[in-house]
Amino acid sequence: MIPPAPPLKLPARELIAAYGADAPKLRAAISGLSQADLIARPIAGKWSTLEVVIHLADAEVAFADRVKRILAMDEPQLLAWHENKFIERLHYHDQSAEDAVKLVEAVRANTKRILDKASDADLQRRGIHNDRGPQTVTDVLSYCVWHLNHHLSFVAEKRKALGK
Amino acid sequence: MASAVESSIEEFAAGGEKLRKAVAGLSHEQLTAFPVPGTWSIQQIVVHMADSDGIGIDRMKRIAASDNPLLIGYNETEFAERLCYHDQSIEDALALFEINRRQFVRVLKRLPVTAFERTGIHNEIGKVSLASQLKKYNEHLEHHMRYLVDKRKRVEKT
Repeated sequence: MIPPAPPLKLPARELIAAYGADAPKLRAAISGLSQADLIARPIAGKWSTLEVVIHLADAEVAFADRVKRILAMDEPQLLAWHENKFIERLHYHDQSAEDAVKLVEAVRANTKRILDKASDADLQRRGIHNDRGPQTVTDVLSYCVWHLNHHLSFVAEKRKALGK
Repeated sequence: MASAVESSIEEFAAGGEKLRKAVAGLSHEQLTAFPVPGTWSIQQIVVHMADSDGIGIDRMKRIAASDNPLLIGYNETEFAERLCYHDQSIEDALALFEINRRQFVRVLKRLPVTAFERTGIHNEIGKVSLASQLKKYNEHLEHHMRYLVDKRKRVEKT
């Protein structure tokens, strides 16, 4: 089942807890899949599992960067990126699923330490996203927590289609 | 003989191990000491390297994947002051630095030579190419390594 669209209606501290607690989900979601499974496209016209995994690593780095900019700088500019161009041009099938998983885990561990030190007022600081407009730390986290679970639901669909 | 781009990629790939070795065996007290008053601790340098490289690799990906993308600067002093650098984990910072570089090297090695001439527009310094950014981040590590090695000598004397 695909999780509901953001923003998730969770208090800020619960979002931070979920951000930390969800980190191991990616490793579990692809556990036991072979390289052939990872690059297969069991659902025609959709990304492979490896493309989803590498996309998640790229996205998690970007979300953490937004959180840090908002906490450290005054109303920083935040930039969207072209996810489809990244997939087309950055050799996603030649990147490592294991390193992507490790990166997601390390990014969330590192950023959660910072979030745990942030005050309630810090969590309401904001940056200006070029597509979404003003975004507080909580807004970014809400989207980030949703985003991982959203894509993991597609990974589960692909596993089912592969019979894994 | 390796091309300038190939040499730059090899230097970039070796950075993770170089940074890890430079701080190996130091205690938390040594990492967070200020052996040169008014300048960063060793831990602040290492966490800065992880933050800076994350941003640099994101910029290089944007240049490689998009047409003349906008790239934005950040304030490294505000990051060091406000993001609790001494409360962060040195191991997580080293892991982030190593994994991010290792993964992106896989991409760099597969890009055509012409991709290194692709450009982006940095909001503070103007047009930059993928090749110039790769060189910049190699030089950035070397720049900070010089300070780090000096600070290590000082904290090991005390």
